[in-house]
Amino acid sequence: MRYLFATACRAAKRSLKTTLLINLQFVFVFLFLTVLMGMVSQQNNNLKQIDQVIGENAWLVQPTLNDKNKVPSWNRQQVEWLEQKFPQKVGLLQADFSEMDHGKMTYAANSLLWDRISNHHDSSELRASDVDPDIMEIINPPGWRNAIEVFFLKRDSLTYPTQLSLYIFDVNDKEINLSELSAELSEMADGQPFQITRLIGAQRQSIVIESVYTKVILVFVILSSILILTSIMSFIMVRFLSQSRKLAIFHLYGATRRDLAIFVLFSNLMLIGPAFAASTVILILCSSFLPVAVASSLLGSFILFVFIAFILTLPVVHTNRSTLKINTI
Amino acid sequence: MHPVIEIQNVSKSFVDRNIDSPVFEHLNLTLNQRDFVSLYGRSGSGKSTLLHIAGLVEHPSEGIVKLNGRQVSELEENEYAQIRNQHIGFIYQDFKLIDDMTILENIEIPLALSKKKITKSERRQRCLQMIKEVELQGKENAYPSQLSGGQKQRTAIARALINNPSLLLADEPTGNLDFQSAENIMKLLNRMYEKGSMTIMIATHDDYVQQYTNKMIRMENLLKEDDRFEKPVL
Repeated sequence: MRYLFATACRAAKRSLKTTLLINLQFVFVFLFLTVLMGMVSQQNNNLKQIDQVIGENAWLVQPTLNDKNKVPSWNRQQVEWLEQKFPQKVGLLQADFSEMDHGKMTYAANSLLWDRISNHHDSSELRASDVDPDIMEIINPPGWRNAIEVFFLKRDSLTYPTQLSLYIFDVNDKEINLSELSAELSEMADGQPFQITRLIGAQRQSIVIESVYTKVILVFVILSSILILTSIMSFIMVRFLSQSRKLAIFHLYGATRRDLAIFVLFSNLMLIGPAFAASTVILILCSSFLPVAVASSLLGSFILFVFIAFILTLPVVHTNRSTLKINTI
Repeated sequence: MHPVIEIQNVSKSFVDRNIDSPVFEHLNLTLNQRDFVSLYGRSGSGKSTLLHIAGLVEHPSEGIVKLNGRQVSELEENEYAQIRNQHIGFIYQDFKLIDDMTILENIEIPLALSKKKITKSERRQRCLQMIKEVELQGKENAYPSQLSGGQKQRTAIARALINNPSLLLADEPTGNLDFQSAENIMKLLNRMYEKGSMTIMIATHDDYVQQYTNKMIRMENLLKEDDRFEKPVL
């Protein structure tokens, strides 16, 4: 085995320029792929974090009116019906505009919504500035952007029917039939229409968009990497021919198929091993900028590394199969 | 003299895209220790195929092959490889040297691939000794591209003999050489033959080769039973 390794090393050394060039290309392949994979993984983590707080499947149910002079309102029957239909999933928030003139605004939240906005805070009163801005962004209580001071209060019972925002949390698309729900609510309110919309925070939305972009770039990078690999392959096929000849001679003089496979693997490692090491070092050095990228990509790039090492082996072994007949080399 | 290689009722055909192309059928050949055989035959008569079957490079389609009394025709490819390494040397018309390895490294291959434990220094020592025997001193670190045809063939001979094989098979070893170089190669082979107990079989077109051998075989005669004639040892 030592002899096979030494022979592979010597061969790489004797075609140093080619070896370096191929390694350089692989450095870029490893770096691009691993950084992008790291970014996708980081974005997924961010999404998970956001979804843990407000929930991916959150809905806002609003009464709507064609007449702008009327104030949309709820009745007790509707709210209780919804609480029964989605137990422990209905969040209520009622706005009090009475002190708006003094630059103050108060929201009363039921316990389910309170738990989400207060992060299980002990007190029963909370300033809006203490609430996670992402949550504020998502629940977007009516009129809060105009008020100077915004307070949240925990209330077990809320007064209906006006200025009530109703949220349904942790209910996925399959569990909610929007038209059916809207019709039921409408029926309970003498035909007043209802609108049900999914709540997507601005941050979540931007992460989702970024993630889509990253995935698109990743696909392009993978495609271009495949092109690079293909060009490298055709480039080193010339080398493979001499390699096949070498393997056939080794086989003639006693190398078993296992010896040949080991030799080819060593030869491939000369082409990608230094590139893998270099890209890993670069990623570690950049870890302060891309910590998640490095953490997630090391395993990913290692798998890629092993994959490429064997993929590069296949054509040689295949070529070799047809040329092991010694009279054809 | 015991038989080194026994080929009994061997047939060989190559199958390509379901088309069976027979090379020869029911061929018999026995080479004893210290036989020095020249094998003649027209192109396509199966000389190289016979050498490959005798050299355990290819399996026969039918029949039995024995090496030093042991039946080997049914063995696996890896076992073939190890037997080749220990017992058989090969020389080819086109030398089959590895271009990016030095002369010393080329000669070293059979020793390095041997399953016997041979240290690097011992390998080197044996290679240098062999280089001396084939008169290539000073060329140890040269590459094949820096050598003449005759020198390349000397290198190939050194590589073939480095493991002291009991059987040396040569396929047109002088085919690519001018007359002088060819004669030198034959003299070298003869010298090596005289020194040891090796059996040599040379497939050739060159008539003068038979003056160095003690037996001449025609391929076409092998196909008929016991139809060969012997030449006196020179």
